[in-house]
Amino acid sequence: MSFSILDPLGVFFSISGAKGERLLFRYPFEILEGRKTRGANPYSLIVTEDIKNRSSNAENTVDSKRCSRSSSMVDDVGVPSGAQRLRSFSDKTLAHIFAFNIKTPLYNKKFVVKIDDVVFVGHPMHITAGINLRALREIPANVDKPPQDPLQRPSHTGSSISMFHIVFALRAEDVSHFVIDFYHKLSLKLALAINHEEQRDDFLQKQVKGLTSTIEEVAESNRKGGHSPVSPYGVALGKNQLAILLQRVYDDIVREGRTSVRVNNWINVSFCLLPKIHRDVELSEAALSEHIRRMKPYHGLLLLSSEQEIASDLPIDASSGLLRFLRIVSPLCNFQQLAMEAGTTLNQVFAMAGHLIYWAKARLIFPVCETNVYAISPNASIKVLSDNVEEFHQKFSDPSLLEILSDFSMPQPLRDVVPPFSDNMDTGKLTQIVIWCLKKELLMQLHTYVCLIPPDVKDLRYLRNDKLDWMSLPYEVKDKVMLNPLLKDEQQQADFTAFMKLVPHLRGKVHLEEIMFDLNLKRSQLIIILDKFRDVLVHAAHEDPNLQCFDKRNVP
Amino acid sequence: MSRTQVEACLISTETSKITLPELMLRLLTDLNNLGRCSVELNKSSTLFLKVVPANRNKSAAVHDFDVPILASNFTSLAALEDLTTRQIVPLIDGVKNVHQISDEVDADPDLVKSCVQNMIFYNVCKVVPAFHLTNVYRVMPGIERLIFNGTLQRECLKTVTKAENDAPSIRDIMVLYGDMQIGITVKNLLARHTTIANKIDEKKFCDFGVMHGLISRVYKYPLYTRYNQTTVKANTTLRWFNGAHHTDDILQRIEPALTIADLDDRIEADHSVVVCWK
Repeated sequence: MSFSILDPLGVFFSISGAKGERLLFRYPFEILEGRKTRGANPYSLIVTEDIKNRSSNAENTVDSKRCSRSSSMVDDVGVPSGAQRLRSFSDKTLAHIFAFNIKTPLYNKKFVVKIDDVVFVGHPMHITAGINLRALREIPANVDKPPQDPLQRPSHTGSSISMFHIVFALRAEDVSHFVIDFYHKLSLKLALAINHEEQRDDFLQKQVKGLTSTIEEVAESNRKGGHSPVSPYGVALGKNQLAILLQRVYDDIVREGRTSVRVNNWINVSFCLLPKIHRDVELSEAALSEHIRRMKPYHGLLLLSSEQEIASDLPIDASSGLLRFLRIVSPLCNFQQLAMEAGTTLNQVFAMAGHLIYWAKARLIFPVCETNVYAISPNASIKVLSDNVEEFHQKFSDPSLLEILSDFSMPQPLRDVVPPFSDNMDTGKLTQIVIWCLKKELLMQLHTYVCLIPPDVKDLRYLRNDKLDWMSLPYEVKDKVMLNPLLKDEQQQADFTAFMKLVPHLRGKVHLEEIMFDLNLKRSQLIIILDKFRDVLVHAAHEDPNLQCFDKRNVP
Repeated sequence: MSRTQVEACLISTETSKITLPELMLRLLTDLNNLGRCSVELNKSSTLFLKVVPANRNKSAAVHDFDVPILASNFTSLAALEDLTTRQIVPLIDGVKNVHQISDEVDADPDLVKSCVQNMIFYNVCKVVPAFHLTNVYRVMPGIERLIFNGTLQRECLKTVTKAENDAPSIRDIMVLYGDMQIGITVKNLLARHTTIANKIDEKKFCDFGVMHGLISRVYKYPLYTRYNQTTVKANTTLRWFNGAHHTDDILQRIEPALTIADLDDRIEADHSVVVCWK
């Protein structure tokens, strides 16, 4: 599956102010010649379509999500993606859409405009005179500033920018609303940081001045001719901080799905595109928070890359607690043990783990132990000629990945996977192999779920009761349980009490491991009790929906 | 609309302008109540509109080896416009796979696939893996729905029961579904629970489970451990043992046609072929 549909098509920066509206930067940009030839193509369908829709959409920038598609049947012919259409927009058109049409009521609001198969997402940020005045008051305290600066200010503010706007262009097809929300958030984050820097340090004024002069210079030299025309944006990338910043954001997102930049070397802006870094196109923020919220003390954490790599990715002001946590985290320990070892509360461990999961640095697992049952994950790639096979061979040399996968094909407890006296395999190595396979998402764990359904009971409505216990069971069911022939007299009472405690968990919703944790039982004890009452129980083994995938069913 | 305007001046002529409010009202009521609407703009042009929920069954891919099966809400052929679909529908019996259907109606498999895909989109059809006694299924996390959803329970019992007077209990069904796991074929399963097996129709039982996401088919992937570039070029069965194709898929592809048992024997006999289930 390709995740490139989530990538932005481009990033734009435009301003509006006393000098009018301008598009100051776009990335990726084109060499000027390329666009000319494209425009000259008389058979191009885009151009004709384009004019019609542009006019209809430019009129109503507010209400954006509507698309004037129904009328244009030609539209679906031969346009692969929004990229081509985006190229057909001239800078002037874009400036018109991003700045001219944004009037004061639209400032500081979410901006979404869909033009055929391109969606533009941004957040126009207003720079009020009031804020500038506040900045002005702070200036005299700043010793580094040249003394004439405050005097120049009034005229400066008059000609200054009233609004700036960072816009991302996305492919409209297949983009869900929450992806648009992610990009809006990114635009907002950047805008807030730039706005702050503008108040602190006139960051925006300086950058805009630089960009404007670059564009003018390049236009001048292009007019003179002599050499082939160059793009002003390319020149800006060489010297302008803001241009470099936007380029980096764009490149990072296309490459990794996350970015971390410093605006004006001061404010840190971090962002990640969740569906991309988690490789799940339909993952929304709500689904992920739900997933994180379901962490239980018996779960564990699997780091997806080495501890050093993750630590180096952290911002420099990261909490030392997190670094300590990274050092001790192990796929063999559950959160309770980790909290004990780290000397913090369980809640804090949950918070740190949730953080690592959000940024796709770690995954929630059930701690690896020898009673775990694994099977091959249905999404696993088991191609014979793949990088995984090579990597596995380099790492573990002896058995090939294919043989290991074949061993894991039959679900059985980990301790039974490999014959006990095999010479080239010990438990340690096997554990390492399992951890590696879990990282590559080749394996999934199966859990056993138990449900209380005695024979000949037709009405199962009692199982819907969330607060099910022995007392609330229907008589019919109780009778069936008590008639159990496997109960011996002397043991009967003890076993029966144990079973009564189990009843609330026998709704097919929790697995054995959770029951063990909740009731503080050993696996053997639990198995013995369940075995004694096997005539009234039903077993099913499947993966834990809370762990294996982000559960989208319960999220609106 | 805009085309009609150009052709017949729909909006600007006084007489046709009067019909517009009525038209809009019809659009609103029909789209809300029926989910679809067809309005006659003038004598020659009709506008067909249908509200389609976004993202519905978006990524449903249909393969040669899939078996289409009609959903219970499928009523009549009349609703179908497409000619190929009309030809295909009588052949959909839950046994024939896409490849066989395309052979029978003498149409291109891709065309049949897109017809089936279209029908899946409109929720009148689903695809299930071909049923065979050697199939292996595994339980899905959705299995608990069978306990909590009364309607599903009743529908399930109705579907799988063989004889009215000897209906299985819901416990029987749960035991049978719950015991499905990788490594246990349907045949093993039925042998293990003979009393229950007599009461149910095993094919309908498996198909129902797959269609409602209670269980899912686990395919067998033969992997040739000494696979390399020469194997790719060689025209043998081994060529397909690269992990991208499972046995059902391979059976469709190789010539001369083999039975499942034959293929299994070949996989058994060769020691450099390992088997993965997923």
